[in-house]
Amino acid sequence: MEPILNIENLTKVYGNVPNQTRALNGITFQVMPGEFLGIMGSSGSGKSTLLNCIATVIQPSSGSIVMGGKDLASLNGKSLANYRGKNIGYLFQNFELLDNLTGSENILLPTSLHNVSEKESRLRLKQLAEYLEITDVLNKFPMQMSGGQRQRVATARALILHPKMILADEPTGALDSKNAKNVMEKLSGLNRDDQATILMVTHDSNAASFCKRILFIQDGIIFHELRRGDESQREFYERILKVMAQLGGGSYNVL
Amino acid sequence: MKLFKFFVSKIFLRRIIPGISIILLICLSNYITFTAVRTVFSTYQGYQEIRGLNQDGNYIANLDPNSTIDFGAIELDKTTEVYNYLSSNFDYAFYVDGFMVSIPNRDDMEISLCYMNKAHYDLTQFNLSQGTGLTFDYRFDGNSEIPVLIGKGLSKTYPVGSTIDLEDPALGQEITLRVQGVLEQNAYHSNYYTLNSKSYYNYSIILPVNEEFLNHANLDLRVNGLMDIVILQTTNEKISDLRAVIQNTLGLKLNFFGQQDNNEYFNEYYFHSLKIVAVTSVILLLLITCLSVWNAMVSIRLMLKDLTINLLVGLSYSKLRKMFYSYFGILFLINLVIVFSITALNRYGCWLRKDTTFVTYGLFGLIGIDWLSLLAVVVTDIIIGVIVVECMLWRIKKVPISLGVLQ
Repeated sequence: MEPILNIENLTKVYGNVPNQTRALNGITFQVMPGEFLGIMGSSGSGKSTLLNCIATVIQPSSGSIVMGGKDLASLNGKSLANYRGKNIGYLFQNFELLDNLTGSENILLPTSLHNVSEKESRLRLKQLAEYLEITDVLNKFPMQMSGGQRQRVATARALILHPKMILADEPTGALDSKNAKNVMEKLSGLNRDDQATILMVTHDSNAASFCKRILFIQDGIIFHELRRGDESQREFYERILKVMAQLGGGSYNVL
Repeated sequence: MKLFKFFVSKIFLRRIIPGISIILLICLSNYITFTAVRTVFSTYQGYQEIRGLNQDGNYIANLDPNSTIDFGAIELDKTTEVYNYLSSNFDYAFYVDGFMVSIPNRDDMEISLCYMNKAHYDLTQFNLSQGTGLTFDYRFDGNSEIPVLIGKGLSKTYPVGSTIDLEDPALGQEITLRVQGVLEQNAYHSNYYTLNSKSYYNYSIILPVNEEFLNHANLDLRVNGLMDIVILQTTNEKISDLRAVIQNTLGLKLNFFGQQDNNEYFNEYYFHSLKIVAVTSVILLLLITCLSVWNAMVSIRLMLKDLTINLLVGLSYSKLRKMFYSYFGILFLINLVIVFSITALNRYGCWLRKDTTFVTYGLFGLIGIDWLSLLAVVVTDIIIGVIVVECMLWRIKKVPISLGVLQ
């Protein structure tokens, strides 16, 4: 099977000589279709930079990112916008819904941008709303929703165009534990039932325990990798905690 | 369309104050451009018209500002003396308008009578839509018909060849006019000393004035004729004599301005005024453009989160550019319709008020200079639109799509 995402020797340097900061220092990994990959690391380790490079929000200094056989460096203008709209679905820590749009309007925003027919859009909206249990908030504005509902609306927006990959940046970071669990179960379900490929950056060991594989980043390089295999979520969680302890971070996540 | 509607209602007009400000600024720029350009065009037309009269050796009369006219003190015989002196010593262009009469016509308009002699007629060179030009060799014996030109507004009621019976206020007697020709629509006469002000001949009758006619004319026509008379191909010395004759005979102090005087007057007064109008308009337009750009920048700042989210979910810059241009295109179109409506209301208002000398023919009464001015507004709008939109896009592109922006 061909990887959906292929990252080769990726580096990102911020600032100019002599005040340079190397956020990514030659990272190489692959993501297979249907995989649920977690990226963990302490603050400043480069995990968000990596995600933003894949989302084309940040331009890497060197190396390559190939998504579905296409080198992202070759994209510009319309093709870049198409990539952002159709190939990836982005989940933000703070949801980033437009306050003046209702839930359904927020979800349908990408379909408007990519000329999906009204009928098709409505059908997808209905399916996603039912799956994510947000039917009753579709006509509400974000301010009238709970944090969990907002993140699920944001998830629906990220999924409405059936992207090749979901990029989630700390999706549970702004949620309480109950809502965080709910959101993670939905993401996990999407991965399990619909073979959705998910790449998630997180601090949260609980959230990370839903993943099938985890890459640990420190000082811009991958220093460890965990695969879940046949383990239960609990067992995988325990292993994650051990690695986090090695990293010197994440102790606050210990239950 | 759906996306455009969404952007206009949910993003562009979401912030009320910048949204309304930009509409008002565009409206102001359109109105300034329209007014300035129309003034310039109208003055240019007046200047072109007056250029035919303002030749080397020609002198245009004007009542001295310090002189007053007492018609009661002027005797008719004395005016005959002056006109005899004029006929013996000069060629002159005679023109008087503003005498109003009521004759039946389809639009129930008062009719303006304009009197001119052959010299003035030859210098004016009217374009006709029907019939032939004026002839001045008619006999004035009370029974014969006087050949006249009429404005387009009268041509349906009085076609070429028909006659018009009226009591001529300049003669104080019944006369019969025969329609010899119809002037082109919107033929006009500019005021000599207010070049951007015009009277339109659409409801006018142009009467040819010959010596016989003038001999039968009353005091009003004769004295008014003297006040705007143009003496042709003469010398300064002879003009001084004429001035003295008029003053001694009628007590009227007239000033006669030669080509150089008129050119100096036009240069000092008109071109200077036009320069001020043009420069002020350009400065105002620049100021409005800067304000619009600044306003647009503020809007972008306020819309940045919304735009960034849209860009993150797949909005391309080219689509955004298209939407900005469509949005501003609609704003400009609305403002253009407003300027058009104001102009049309003014023009059509003349018809409603039955303002004989100002009614014009055209779509809603708009004439050539109005359309040219609207075209200038469109050009200005395009320039301002391109500047504002490109500045907005430049600003959006300058702020990278980043999560930092959202936070």
